[in-house]
Amino acid sequence: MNLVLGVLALNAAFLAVGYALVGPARLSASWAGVAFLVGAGSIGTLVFFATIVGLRASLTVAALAAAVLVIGGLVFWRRVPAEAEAGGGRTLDPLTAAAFGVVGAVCVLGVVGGFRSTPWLDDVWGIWLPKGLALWHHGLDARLFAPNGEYVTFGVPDYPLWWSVVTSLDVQTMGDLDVRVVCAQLALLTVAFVGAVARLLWDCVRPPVLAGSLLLLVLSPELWRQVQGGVADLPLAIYLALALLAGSRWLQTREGFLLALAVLALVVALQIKTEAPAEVASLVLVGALFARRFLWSALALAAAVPWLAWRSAHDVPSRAELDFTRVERVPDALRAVAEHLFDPTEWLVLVPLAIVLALIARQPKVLLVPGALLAVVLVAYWIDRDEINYVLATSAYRVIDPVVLSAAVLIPLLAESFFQQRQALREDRALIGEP
Amino acid sequence: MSARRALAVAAVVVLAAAAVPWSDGPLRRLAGGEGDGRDPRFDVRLDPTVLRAEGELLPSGLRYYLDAAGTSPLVQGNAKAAGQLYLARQLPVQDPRLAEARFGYRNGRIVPLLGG
Repeated sequence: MNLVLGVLALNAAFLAVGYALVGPARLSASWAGVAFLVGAGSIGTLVFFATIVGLRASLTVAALAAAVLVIGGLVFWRRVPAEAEAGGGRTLDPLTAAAFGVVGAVCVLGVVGGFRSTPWLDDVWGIWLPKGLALWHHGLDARLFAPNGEYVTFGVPDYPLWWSVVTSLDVQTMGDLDVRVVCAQLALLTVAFVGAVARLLWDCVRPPVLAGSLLLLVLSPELWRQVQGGVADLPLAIYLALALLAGSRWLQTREGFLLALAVLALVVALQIKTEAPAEVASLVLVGALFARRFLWSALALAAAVPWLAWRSAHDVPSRAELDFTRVERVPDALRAVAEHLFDPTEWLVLVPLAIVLALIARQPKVLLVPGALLAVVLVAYWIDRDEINYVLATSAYRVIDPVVLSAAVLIPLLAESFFQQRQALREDRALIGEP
Repeated sequence: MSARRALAVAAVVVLAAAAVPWSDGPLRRLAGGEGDGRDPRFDVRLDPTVLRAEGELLPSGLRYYLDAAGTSPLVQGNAKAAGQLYLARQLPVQDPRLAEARFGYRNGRIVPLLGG
């Protein structure tokens, strides 16, 4: 099977499983982005867990995981009456429609570019994908995944393996080793994320605001540069931002599905990179400031236990040392991270705009979300043992992805809040007869 | 203009701009420019052809040793990565005496070594 057919076949399976999990009420094209992220996240997580208990990350195991998920979804939605979905029809003016057209076209080009790009980040073909191939051929074999002095082991052995599993499944479906699968997979996840943001905000954010927000995201050069790099930070950011978005919508609607989606996204994020537990914990804590029931989502952290237990059982060391004495690293880290966050040639104005909107919408508390994620990044640099300038030069541009994507999903929510406040103010003035 | 038509026109304009063959604008780069091949763009000169073929021929679980001694750390890192990528069915060992097959980095190529 060639590259395109192989990757699309696997991702069609992700989508189908996702639809089974999100329920029959959401069986429409507009939910494809959410369903895809749910399917890819769930299958990748289950296959990763399967490797921890001794199975290989093969297509057979993935098919079994998919079957379990589909059956689970069908049984659940048969027992739980599906919530009726609000009608999605909203009138678009031509300018807004054109903006959505540009968003769609840029996404199409992004996917085409993903399929045609070799990942430029050497970690991808040097660590992430080889780990996935090893999980396929040998399973989670301690000879390769835990430093032992006899076999050549992989770099960064403490990193969880969701991204390796998913890209390995791509190679297996394709039937040939082609490193472009990584960028293709990341492009599809990114486009699904754009679709998921659109779907989850469609009913609560006015279309011009939503279209403008998505346009700002998809026109960010760094988004697609990272897609063509195959970096694992981007899927981590996607799932953290999805959790934030679903959690924010749950605050507005109290719809159980949205809370479940937020928790699932947190669970998946935990399987992607080693800093995820700290980022998930920070999101949960900030969420609890808005609604104490969010603390229940801390249960998602239990999903980090299987990998931590395997690491502990095999003496896999952590990259980070809990050495808080090297505080001189923090200003350098802050400077480097801020340069990337605010550089308009990377992420346009996503982060500064989110800050401005939070202030003018009189919701500065919301900034605790990207702020907490930023704090995790800074602490990680603080306690990391590598030379600070080297580690900043090689990672600062990408470890900020969760901060950026969280700002990106907050922009439409904050802008909508601002417009609603202005509208209410105008109505109040009209009531009391002010011009 | 109706919303549906505006959406379609905008999308077609963007796609057409990326399709113009003589342009090297951001949209064309977004679509992958000239396109890449199936192998990594290594940081050093490294032809993985032999390694790819050997990875398919050698038995699964065979222990191999990849010798890049005397080269730069960058070459060593790339050679190690290439081994783990293309010889994923086999197992890399640190001690050449434990290896059932040996490879070496020679003039930008990874080649089988005699005595492996």
